[in-house]
Amino acid sequence: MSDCTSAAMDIHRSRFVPYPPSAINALAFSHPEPEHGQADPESLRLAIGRANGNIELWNPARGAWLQEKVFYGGKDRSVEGLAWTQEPDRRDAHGKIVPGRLRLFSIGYSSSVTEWDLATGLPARHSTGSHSEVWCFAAQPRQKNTAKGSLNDDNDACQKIVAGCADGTIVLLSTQDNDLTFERFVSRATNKKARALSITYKDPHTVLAGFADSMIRVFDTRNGSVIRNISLGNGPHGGPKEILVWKVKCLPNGDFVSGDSTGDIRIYSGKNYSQTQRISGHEADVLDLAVTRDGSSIFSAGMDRRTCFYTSKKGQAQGQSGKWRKVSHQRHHEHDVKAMATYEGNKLSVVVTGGIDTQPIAIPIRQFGKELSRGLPALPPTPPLTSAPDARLLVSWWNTEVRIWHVKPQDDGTEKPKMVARLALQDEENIISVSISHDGGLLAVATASAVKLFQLVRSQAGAGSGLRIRKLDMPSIAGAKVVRLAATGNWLAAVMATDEVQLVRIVRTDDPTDTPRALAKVQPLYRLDRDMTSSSPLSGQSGFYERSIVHADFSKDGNVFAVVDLAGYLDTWIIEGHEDSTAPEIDIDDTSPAAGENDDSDNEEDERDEQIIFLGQHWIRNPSGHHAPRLDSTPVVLSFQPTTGIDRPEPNGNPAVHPTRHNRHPHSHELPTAEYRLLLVSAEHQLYLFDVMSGRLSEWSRRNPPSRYPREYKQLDLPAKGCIWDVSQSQQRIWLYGEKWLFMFDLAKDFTISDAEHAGKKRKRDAAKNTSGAGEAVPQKEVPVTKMRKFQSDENDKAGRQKWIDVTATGRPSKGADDDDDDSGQALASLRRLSSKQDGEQTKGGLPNGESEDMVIGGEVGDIEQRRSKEPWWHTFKYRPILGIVPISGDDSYHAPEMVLVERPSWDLDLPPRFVGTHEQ
Amino acid sequence: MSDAAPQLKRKSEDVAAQRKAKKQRRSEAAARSDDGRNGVDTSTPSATTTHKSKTTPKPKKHSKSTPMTNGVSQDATNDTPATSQKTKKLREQQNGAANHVESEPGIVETQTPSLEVNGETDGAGHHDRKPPSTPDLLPAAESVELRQKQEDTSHLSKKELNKKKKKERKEKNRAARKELTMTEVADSARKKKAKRSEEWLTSSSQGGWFLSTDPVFSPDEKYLILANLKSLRIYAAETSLLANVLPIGDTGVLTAFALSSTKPNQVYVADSTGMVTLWDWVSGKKIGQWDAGATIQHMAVITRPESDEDFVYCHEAGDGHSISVRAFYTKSRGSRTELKQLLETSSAIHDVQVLLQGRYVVLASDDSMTVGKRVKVSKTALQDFEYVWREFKFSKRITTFDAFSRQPQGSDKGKQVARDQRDVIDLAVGDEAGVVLLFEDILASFAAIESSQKGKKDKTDIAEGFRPKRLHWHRDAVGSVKWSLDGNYLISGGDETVLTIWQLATGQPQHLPHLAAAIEKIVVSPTGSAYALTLANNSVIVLSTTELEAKTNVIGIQSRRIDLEQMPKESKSSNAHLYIFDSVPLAVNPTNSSEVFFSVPSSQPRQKNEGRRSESYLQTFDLANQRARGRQALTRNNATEPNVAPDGGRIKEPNVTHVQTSHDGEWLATVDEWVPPRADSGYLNEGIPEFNEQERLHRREVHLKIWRRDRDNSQWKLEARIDAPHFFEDVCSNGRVFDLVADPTAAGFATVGEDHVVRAWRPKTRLRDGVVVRGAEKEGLVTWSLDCSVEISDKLDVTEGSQQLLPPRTSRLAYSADASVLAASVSWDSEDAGVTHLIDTQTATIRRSLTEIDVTALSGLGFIGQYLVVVADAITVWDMVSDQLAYSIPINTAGIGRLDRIPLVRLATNESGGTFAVSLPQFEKRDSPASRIKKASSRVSIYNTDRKKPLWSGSFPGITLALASRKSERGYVILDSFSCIKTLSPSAGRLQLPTPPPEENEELQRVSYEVDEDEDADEAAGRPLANLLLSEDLTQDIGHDEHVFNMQDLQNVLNDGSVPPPPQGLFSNVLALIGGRPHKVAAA
Repeated sequence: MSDCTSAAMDIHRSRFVPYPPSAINALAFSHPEPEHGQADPESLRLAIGRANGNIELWNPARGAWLQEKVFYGGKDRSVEGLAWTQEPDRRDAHGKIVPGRLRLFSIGYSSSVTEWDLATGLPARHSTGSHSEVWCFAAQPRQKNTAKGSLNDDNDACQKIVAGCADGTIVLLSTQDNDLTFERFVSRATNKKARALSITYKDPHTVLAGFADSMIRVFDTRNGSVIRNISLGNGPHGGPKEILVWKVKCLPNGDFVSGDSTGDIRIYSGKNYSQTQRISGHEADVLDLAVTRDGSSIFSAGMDRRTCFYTSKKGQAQGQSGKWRKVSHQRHHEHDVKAMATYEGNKLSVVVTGGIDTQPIAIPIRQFGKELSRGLPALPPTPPLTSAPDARLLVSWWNTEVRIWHVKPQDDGTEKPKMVARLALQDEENIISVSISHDGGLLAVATASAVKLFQLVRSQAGAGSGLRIRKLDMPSIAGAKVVRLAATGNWLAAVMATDEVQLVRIVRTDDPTDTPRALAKVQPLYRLDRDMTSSSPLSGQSGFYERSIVHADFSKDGNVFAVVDLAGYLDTWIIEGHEDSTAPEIDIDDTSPAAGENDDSDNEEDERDEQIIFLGQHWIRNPSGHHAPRLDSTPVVLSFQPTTGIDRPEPNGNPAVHPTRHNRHPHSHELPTAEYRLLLVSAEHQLYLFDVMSGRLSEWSRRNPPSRYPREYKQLDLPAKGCIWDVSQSQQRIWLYGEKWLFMFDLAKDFTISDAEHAGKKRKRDAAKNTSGAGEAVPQKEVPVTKMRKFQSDENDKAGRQKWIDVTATGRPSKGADDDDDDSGQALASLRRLSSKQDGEQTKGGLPNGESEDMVIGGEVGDIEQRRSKEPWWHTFKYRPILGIVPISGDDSYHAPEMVLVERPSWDLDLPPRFVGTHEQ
Repeated sequence: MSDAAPQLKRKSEDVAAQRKAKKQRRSEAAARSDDGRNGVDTSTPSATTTHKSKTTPKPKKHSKSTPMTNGVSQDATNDTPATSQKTKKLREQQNGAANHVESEPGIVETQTPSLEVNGETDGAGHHDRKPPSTPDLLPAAESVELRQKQEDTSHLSKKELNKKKKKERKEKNRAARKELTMTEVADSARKKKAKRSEEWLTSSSQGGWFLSTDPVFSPDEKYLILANLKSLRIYAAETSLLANVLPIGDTGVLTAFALSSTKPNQVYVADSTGMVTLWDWVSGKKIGQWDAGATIQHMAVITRPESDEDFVYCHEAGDGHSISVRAFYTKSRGSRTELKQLLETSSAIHDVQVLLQGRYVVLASDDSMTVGKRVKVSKTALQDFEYVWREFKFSKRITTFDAFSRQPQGSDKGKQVARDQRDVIDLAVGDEAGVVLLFEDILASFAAIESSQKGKKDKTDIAEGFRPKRLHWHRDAVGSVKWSLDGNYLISGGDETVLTIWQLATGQPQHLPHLAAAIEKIVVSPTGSAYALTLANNSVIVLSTTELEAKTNVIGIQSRRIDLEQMPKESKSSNAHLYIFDSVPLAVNPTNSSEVFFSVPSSQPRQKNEGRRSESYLQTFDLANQRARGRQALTRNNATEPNVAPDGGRIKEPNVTHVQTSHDGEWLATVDEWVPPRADSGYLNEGIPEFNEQERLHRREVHLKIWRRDRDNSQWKLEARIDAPHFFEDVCSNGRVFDLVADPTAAGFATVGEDHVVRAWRPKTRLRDGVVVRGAEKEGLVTWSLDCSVEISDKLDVTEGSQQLLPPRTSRLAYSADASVLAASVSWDSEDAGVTHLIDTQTATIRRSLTEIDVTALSGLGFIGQYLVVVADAITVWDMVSDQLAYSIPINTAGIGRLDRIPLVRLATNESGGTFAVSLPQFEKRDSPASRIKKASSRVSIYNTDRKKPLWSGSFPGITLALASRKSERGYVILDSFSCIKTLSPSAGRLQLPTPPPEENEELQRVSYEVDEDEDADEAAGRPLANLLLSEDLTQDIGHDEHVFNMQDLQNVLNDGSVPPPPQGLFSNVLALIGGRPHKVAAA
């Protein structure tokens, strides 16, 4: 379990956390194609539905594939299908076309279709109807041209939803009026009660449904008439008689294609509904199909883990005109592939596949064969791990379960971490967030419906190592998406689904027998209102999608609380005054707005007047918080640097604060004096080190713009997941990790500048960025044909012989704009360095440069030693995939940090038995 | 050079026709010899000798002893005139080679000028009769000839006194006599030896591997044309029988052939000397020959537009590779050629395909394909053939390809014209990873890429350029891929022994598994009704496309083929690579010496260099009919099992190390061995490599199997399997079996093994309650069991040495002819000289241990009468009766060390002839260090027991992998590393008749040897033999004249010159033939 021992850094490399895999059941892109044929829409999202009921929203922009949001499901809830609709585009006041609002629907094993509120991540509404479980559903294609939209009646403007049910019923649902209502039965249950397995729209009023009785039926949704019954015939010899039509998909020209349980795909003419071709590409059931926008390619995937690719040459006068041919198949997955989704834009052009092995894979469409497929992260972007370093407890959670391990120090021998507590919530909701106080005494658990607080009580010495869990009373908070306990356990912050922040004061004493209690009054915190004029199609009535809070944390001493949202806006609050046990526990001052409040709050109409003072302490918005710049891209990590060694003597209570007549609710306005540094990492890998109290970027951040970052760091394609601080008087190291990488930066030093290196690297990165959203270009030795040339027979054409044409070149011009940006940043940074040189010198001089003798990780990085001594950074790709890293020792900061690194390798997943091909037996 | 013409007549086998043709032949022969000397054979012999029936030799009565003409052994068992006539032709072809061989070794007739020999070569059997007809003979040769003639005439006069007819028989010896007379004149001391050396004749080699070219169907699909190194062979598709053979000269090897496009009965054949010959393969006539000036590796023929001439696309390989188009003009326009160079390149071209009458040429090299498109299509002159080439590189090595020109499908007339402007070429390429890449409409892809390079099109269209379909089923490199005629299917095959038919519309592959061996070439027949597959076991099968049933099966000799090119590089430490030259177990059917059995591997793919494959099958080959009789598995095998392990390694089959038949041919004994592969013995690893290896070897599996002949199925039925015949009790491991011999008098076999024990195995009739157990056919069932065993201690005196057993290096066994003595030689791994034990088989005790003979490098052991022959560092002949050395000759093998050569030196003894043959390997190495072997050859010498000098000695290319005596005859069978079988036979042996039992003969010989032992061996051997033969002649006269005379010699007498001799001369010639031998003897 723990293979690393060293004086400097202890890594417990572990795999004991049984984070259970959750299969991908459904995939859906919000847009099938670029809006108005132009650029890829900003609001393009990929929804991934999983077997544990979670729906993840991924932003594929710029190939980043960032998982932005998770709509949590619950026990025995599974997402079996997903569909997006988009309301009709409108023209705003300036006559500009505003894209319509996006709506996301899902089905599970129930008779209802669920619509999700994209902003809150909560179910918005369910459809009702007296039909059996919905097995498949599809949204009506969007009206193409808004110009003609006016001609159509409103009824047609909204995309309808058609659903196929377990008894063969086909139901039409209306999404009109921002609602989801039953409209009519298209088809009643058949006699055989054959399940409708797949359904799709052929044109706005014709649906194709694949059934479990070897039939594809074509319906007219307007009158429910059956246009055609297409039989697939009997199943193959020795197999079941009925063929399951797992998927039907339409090609743009009206032809359609089906994938079935025999492993064949069949192509049908859209004119006379007759089968034109049948291609066998799979050894087992085809579970999903994807077609490209131009209708020249089909992808199929299924139980044999293959992803097959078929093409037909369109408009070819001779030869195989219109004939489909299987091009190739590849095995990207390790288990059944259950879902596929395509998006083809100008830049992004991918088909995403997912299945039981939980990892979505992006496969290029336009660059098929020239670019590699790319495995997107399979593990959650925010690690479902936390720790109580002082108690050496590690907490992990999934679905409705929390487990707590006690991790022994390394020198205790090789004993495995022991599970000391296990907590299973009784309600159905999945756990969204868990937090534990540093001493391991308090545990907060948030679900979509409630926030719960538990006390962890160590058993009597000698009575085993288990922990007792005692539930504590909490003021009712209706569910949260982030819950944070301050390190001291005094404060609990819960970020609600609606992005409100609630603070709860928890009173604890040093007496272990004394039960902590949460004060009943909840302190709400309000964020600054940012300018969000351009509302995105993702935003709903309940709020702006972009303003969803994604990360929140307390500073280590609990005096500062920070949240950051998807748009990159940072909000911080700080505490006023000192804890005064003599003061009333709750003192509500509802008379006047706090004098010290800054002016910005004046225009906040929501701001309530009441001021809640807990034991002499009061939360205010950070006076300089509005100075903090917006991040360049979505934040992925938020973490406070631990404050080191600044232990000012705390006065007992708040001196000179007494209730007076004029001030019946006196409290200190003294702000914390410590230096709070907050690290934010964006999806573009930029490190923002904020000085919270001043609201400014720290000197280090200013001196080290992204262009100075090491090449290895800039080339990473997976975003950061978290960080570990290793701060002492001698060093300020931060260990930043993503799913497959671990980087160390010394924030006390600047990156070296090497212009030559800089120039070379950047180009490389540009090339990587210019791919279609899938993996990098296929290496030359994998491409079947690399280059060609043309020459004449005669001898004097030597020149022609030399001219080789590289047939694999993607040929995208690199953009000059980026260079300019970087250059300016570079210059600025150089200036800053120059100006602060003296300071820097001093700082550096003051720091003992002790890197040569420490920083050995289990002796495995010996070869990096040399470079490390020169560079203020270090990295490894040894650990993968990383579920999370948490500190585990609560020692003084002079000691090297000890941390637990949890890996979840894909081979370690507990998957059901899979299909075994004939050649694998 | 003169050999090609006679070959033309080879087909003629009809007896009557043969008779008729005798006169003509004489004149032809003269013409031939002239032609031969002129170097180029321009004259086309008249077709009068070409007889209508093209029937291949039908199996005749199997006579044990058949007349042998000099140089021809393959027909030895065919005593019908038809074959012997054929034989004669063959001999003429062979003479050059045979005599050439003879002239090489210094032992024979060193004083004879090579010119003389050459003259003989040319003349073969003719010049002695017609010296004037060879005007351009060099004077030396001429004088010899003249002398010969004188000799002959003197013989003639004496012969007249002698009895009569049997001219054939005389004739047979004529050549020998001629030689004799020569040597008598030249050096009287050597005359006997010279006579002897002439007596042994080498047959032409049979078998050999088919070239790795696509088999060619005749347009009517009735014939299949295959090529091996030396000849083009035409097989009838219906019967799988050889219909015609078109030989090429003996100087070069055949490299390419192609059917004429205009005249389907003509075929162009190119050889390594740069000659291109146009044959009429139906009549077997040579139509024309041209010197191309370069070695042509591939040929493709098109019809010149608007004419009936052929244009031949040739790929010539020299320093570079080039493609040219040539016109070969036949007689009407003079035998000239016209040439247009199309492409020169430095990269090696592997294959060439020409489409649409030359509009497109597709070439494959190692990693690139080149498509040439003809410009100025309307012009038809050769010099107007110009091409635009487009080459595209692959990332993987290309192993095979096939291009297909898709015909426009549309019926729309209006569009038809437009469509004709553009051809659609689909290309299927198989690569080393087992992927078949399918490029549809490759010309459009070129256009797309080129236009995008010019910036005309959007970049995104490049993606469409090369996006081949991948058909990936094969695990290993694709052996061959072909389009079906309609372009709807692809047919591919490879190492998996599975024929895969891809239906492109559905992507569904259809498989025909469990073919006997890896697929090397696939050809679709002209009408699409059949696929011809060349398999890696030297066979070609033709499958019908409808039922996938085999219609034709042409099988060559499948024994181990050794490509010196493919040999692994020599490692400094050891000569481990030589193990590929280990002997191939081979046995001759004692009752029918034209039937040989040898072990063969299941498959020997050419592409792969994976060393030696296990030989686990037994092939039965009929030398008389040049046909493979059958093939059966001797061990477990992977024919119907996966032959590849999950790790990708090949699953090894057991290797048959010994094959022996019992004296009556009823029983076959085989020994096979299997050792777990190193990769699978990893679990034994304890860190010490020696122990690992030892542990691995302890897990060796050895079986001795006894098979009974199943006459109904002409197969061998397994009767008994003896596991671990030599078992080490103390370490529980199976010892290897070093030698296996058959009891020459009764059913029984003896083995000697690593465990120092000689064991004899014999059948016992199975009894139950005293009653013989009978099988289904009422035959008495037998049980094979250990009869007796004799332990061989490693030291003669047990007290003197330690009790620890020395590991023997090798050991050999030999039975005496009466099976009373079993000799066992043991060579120890130490520098000990080894010992030869003589075991009394009655008592199973060691009677005598010979230490006088150093057997450290023991290679062979044999008995001839009272003599024991030991081949070690020297060939030692030990007289057992007098218990003293008869003689000993040191042996000399060039290029190989004393101990390395042990497994490469072969010995065979022939009791009936009183001779033994030794084959010694000769290697020529390249100069560079870590070199490969440049050239390997074998020197075969035949000795008898009373003379030190070999009776005959010859050198053959290739290493002799097996040497066996033809049990009831006097000759030997040689299987070499080209998978060719040759026979060596004494000309005297030809006089034997099928009727008299061979034993008599042997006895007589033996007696004569014993008597004449110390006298002049030659004299002694000659005389009684001659007497005997003479007496036999008398008996033969009565009923067997048709069968017993030597047709060839008679023919030689009758028609060896261009001018028919006067009746008087003819008569005297015939008489000379008959009376030659007695006369000669008397003269001596």
